[in-house]
Amino acid sequence: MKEKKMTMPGVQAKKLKPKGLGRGGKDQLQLWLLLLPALVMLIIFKYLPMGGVIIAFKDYRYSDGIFGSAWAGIENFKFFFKSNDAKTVIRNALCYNLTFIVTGHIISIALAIMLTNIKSKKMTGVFQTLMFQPYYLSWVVIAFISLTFLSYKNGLFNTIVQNMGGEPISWYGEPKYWPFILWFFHMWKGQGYQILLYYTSILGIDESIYEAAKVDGCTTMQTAVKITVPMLTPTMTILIIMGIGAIFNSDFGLFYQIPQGSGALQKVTDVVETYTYRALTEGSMSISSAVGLTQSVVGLILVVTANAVVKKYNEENALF
Amino acid sequence: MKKTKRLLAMLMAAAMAIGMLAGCGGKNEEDEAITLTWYIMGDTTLSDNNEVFQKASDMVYENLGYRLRIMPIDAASYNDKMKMIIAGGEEWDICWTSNWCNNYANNVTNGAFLQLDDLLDEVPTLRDSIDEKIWEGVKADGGIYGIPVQQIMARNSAISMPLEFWEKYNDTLVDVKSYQDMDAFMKKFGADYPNVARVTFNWQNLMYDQNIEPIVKPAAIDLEGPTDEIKVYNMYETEAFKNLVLLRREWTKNGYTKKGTDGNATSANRKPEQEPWVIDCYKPGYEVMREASVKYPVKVFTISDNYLTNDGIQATIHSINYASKHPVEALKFLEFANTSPEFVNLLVYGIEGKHYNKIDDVTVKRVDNPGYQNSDWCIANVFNTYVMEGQPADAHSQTKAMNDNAKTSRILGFNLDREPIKIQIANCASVINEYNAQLEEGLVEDTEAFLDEMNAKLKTAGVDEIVAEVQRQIDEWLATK
Amino acid sequence: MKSSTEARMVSLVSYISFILFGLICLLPMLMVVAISFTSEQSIAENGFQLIPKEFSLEAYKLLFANPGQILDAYKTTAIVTITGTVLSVLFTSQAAYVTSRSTFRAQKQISFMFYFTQLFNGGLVPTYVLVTQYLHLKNSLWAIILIMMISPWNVFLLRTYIKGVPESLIESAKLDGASEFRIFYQIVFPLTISGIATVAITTAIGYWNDWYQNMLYITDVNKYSLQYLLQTLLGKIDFLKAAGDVGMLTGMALPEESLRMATCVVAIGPMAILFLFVQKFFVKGITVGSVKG
Repeated sequence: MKEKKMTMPGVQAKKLKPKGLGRGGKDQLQLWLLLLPALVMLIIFKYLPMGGVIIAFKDYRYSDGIFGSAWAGIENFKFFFKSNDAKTVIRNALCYNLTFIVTGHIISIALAIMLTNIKSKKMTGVFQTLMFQPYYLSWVVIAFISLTFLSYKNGLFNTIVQNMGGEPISWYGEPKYWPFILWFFHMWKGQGYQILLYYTSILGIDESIYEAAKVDGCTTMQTAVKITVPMLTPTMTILIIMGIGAIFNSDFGLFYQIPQGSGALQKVTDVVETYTYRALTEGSMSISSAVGLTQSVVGLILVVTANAVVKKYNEENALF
Repeated sequence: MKKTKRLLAMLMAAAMAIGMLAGCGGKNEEDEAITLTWYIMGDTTLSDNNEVFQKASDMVYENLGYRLRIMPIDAASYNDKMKMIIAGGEEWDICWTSNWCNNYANNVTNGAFLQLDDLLDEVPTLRDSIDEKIWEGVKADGGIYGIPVQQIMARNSAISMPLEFWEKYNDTLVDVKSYQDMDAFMKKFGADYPNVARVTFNWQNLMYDQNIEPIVKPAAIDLEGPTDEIKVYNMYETEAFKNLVLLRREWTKNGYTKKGTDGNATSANRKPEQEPWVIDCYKPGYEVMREASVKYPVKVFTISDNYLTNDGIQATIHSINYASKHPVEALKFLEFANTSPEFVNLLVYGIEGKHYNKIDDVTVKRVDNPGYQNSDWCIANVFNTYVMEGQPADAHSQTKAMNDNAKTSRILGFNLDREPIKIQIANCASVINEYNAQLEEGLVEDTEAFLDEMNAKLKTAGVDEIVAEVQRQIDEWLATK
Repeated sequence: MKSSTEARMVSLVSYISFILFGLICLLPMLMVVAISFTSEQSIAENGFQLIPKEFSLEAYKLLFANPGQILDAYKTTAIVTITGTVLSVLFTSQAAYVTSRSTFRAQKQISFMFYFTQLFNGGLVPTYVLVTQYLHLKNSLWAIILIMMISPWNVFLLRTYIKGVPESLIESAKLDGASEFRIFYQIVFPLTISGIATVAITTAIGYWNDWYQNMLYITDVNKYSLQYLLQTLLGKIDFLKAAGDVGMLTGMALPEESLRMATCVVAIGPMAILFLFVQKFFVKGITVGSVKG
């Protein structure tokens, strides 16, 4: 007897099974063995060094070492929060990240679905390869290239503007263009990867659902919205939760290299990482550790909250 | 489920505890001879590094009985790598440091280096070969924490420009004694090349011309003045600065310089007219070096006297590890390195015949693509080295004369403790970063209002506290003299 | 609206979007290649052009001046990348499988344990001390391989793909008496091949492009990774210019921007080619037949 089930990824098939199937001691041992290499690596390389976060609470001197250095309580944290820029950089980091998350997922899901609709395997491959290229470029190189477009004197954009009879624009001097410019580069570099993630997720969806949809006469749009998108919910949820955990973290290369360090743009391009880089010319490890710890703690609180919310709707999609 | 939870919690705690409790594990090694580890800047990709370093070690062994282990680090990664080595508690004896890379003052504050004041009596030759003024200048936190490398230390303000412009606009350059005097040049130049040039200030070099010595921006003092009374002020509030930026604005308004900016990007600016002149620092042999960099012939002329400042002296130093097992030996080695021409020439030029050829007693020429080479200023006393082809035979004595005859900064030997005002410094740094470049490139239409805005913001950022604290520290320091 | 017209509209819009997007991605890559083959003289006079006004190989000549070094670096990086990627993908996917199993009693705790490290880390210095002083891995390629091996992000990503495998398949295998190992290797792994390929390529790129870990831990020039060697060569030139070291500059052609682009081409070329191959795996997982009731 063939079972034609609508298999929704992640939802347990609610059928009667012998209790304890897979819960036995032998199964547990096998699972632990499979887990072991990664777990050992995790403990050694991530957990052992974690004791070092106490640098954030100390006045770290090399001669005294991490454990001998004097305690500084929350002094190191005050440095960031008392600064005049804290509000600006937090606001910037938050705004950019929220925009990146919302627009990023909408665009990559849409494009991933469109990609699956392209019949020619060869063209799909070509597009995928092209879209993925920016992923390996370093921000330094990208900053160079962007200079050829945005340079005041000979940049491509200004050449076009002048040919149309306008005055050249000082791109690196006008803050108003930069939220868009930074958004553009973030998308440009990262979409290839995210589209690939969604594309391969779609590949994992059972073909029979689409066949049934076709039989029912669904249009492409309807299939996309009513079937594909809900099927992508687990992937989307995980990615968004993890994105929320990093909501105050920013890609240093993007915010530092692309604006070419132009002070005029500071108000809109300054984020926590660039601020720390500029403010800590003395390379104070205690303070940068404190800032990092703050980002982590806030991230943790947000993730735990988001995770709890998700659990209410669908336990399977939660992170933990 | 509960059991597993507890087990896991214990595992995590144990892991972290092990990580934390693991104290310093020392290793005891049997040495037949003392080995000194020396970190310097050097090109690790050179093929003959090992050969040359072995020779250097043999030389040291012959003379002092120690073995020398040279660890070169590429310039691009020196700062990050050395920071890790120091912070990570690795074993090392001597390292190169300076005020612009592997920051000397910071390392001193963080306790990385050994204080040498008392130990200098062990190396009288070295101690006496370095001028009293220079020992003053290398002090940090009130003590001597490193041996400065003798080289060009005097600094000045100089204007460097493409030779073709010097010839073409020579009549405007006859009486130029200051940045502001470049106005006549800019008029003529701007007429021929409108809206093209990028011209900025460079306070590190301009300060000698403008008589403003920044201590920590925005706090500064007059470069010249009475030595018993030193007044600290906000450099952006001075008449001098205001006039400077207003003049700069004129140049942009009149189209002599470009009306837009590319931030700090300079890569596409290669044509002479894109950089008609820069404020630089002159030293013997400057022209040849600049030409190699910009690829066109240059002309340079100074617009200030020579000065000896902390910056000039702290540009290249060798320091000893606070935790070094052989501090006295390390110091004796540094004495040897700084007094032996054979040693320093080996590490700068390599092996004669293989990496360079002698042209006469004091001049050498490197072979093409030598298997070994290094910069002289990061090894040891430059005055003991050969000069290169194209440099005058008496380049070293010229340089020494420049150092000896330079005027001294009034705060030679003064090191600012930033700790009490570090938040204000960071706040002001942000304001300056935002406003300064636009002023320097003359991009703001109402420059005066913009400058006032910047100063108002500096006030909220705490400039007054900075000025007060710096003044307090200087007065305290003066009192000890 | 007729379904076929709609389908054709969608198809048209798709093609246009991808062609546009593709061009936006392609153009800068072409510029990188073009600049790498342009003479420095031409760059000084004409700026960056898409079609080099003056073709030149000076950047590449400089890079390959010591071909032994570059070839060594390629070899080293290939070894590190392959070893690292294989081990990483294996261990990560195993961990992802375990954390996907609701029958696993420590599922939530282990998941949290993994994720926690995504947010919190002890910092550079403690890791450095651990690796150099306790694990004695300074100057060892294993330092690079091991440090970058486990990424919680990839664990959760793969876990999501694995959760897409129908529970019924796994259960029926269990009923047949299969061990967790067999289930993982014979059922789950093949079915999630596209997800695994995605993680594999990004892991490989991470290893291939690394220069920071190399900078911290590798002191032997023969063990430099490709990117680190290239960054060193680039940095040498920047530095020489800044320090005005004439003795070391004369006699050296200094193609600056073209050199930077050339290092890009040399480093990324292999990755771009690799992607073309890995493409094959972005397909549906092998179907294991239907479920028997």
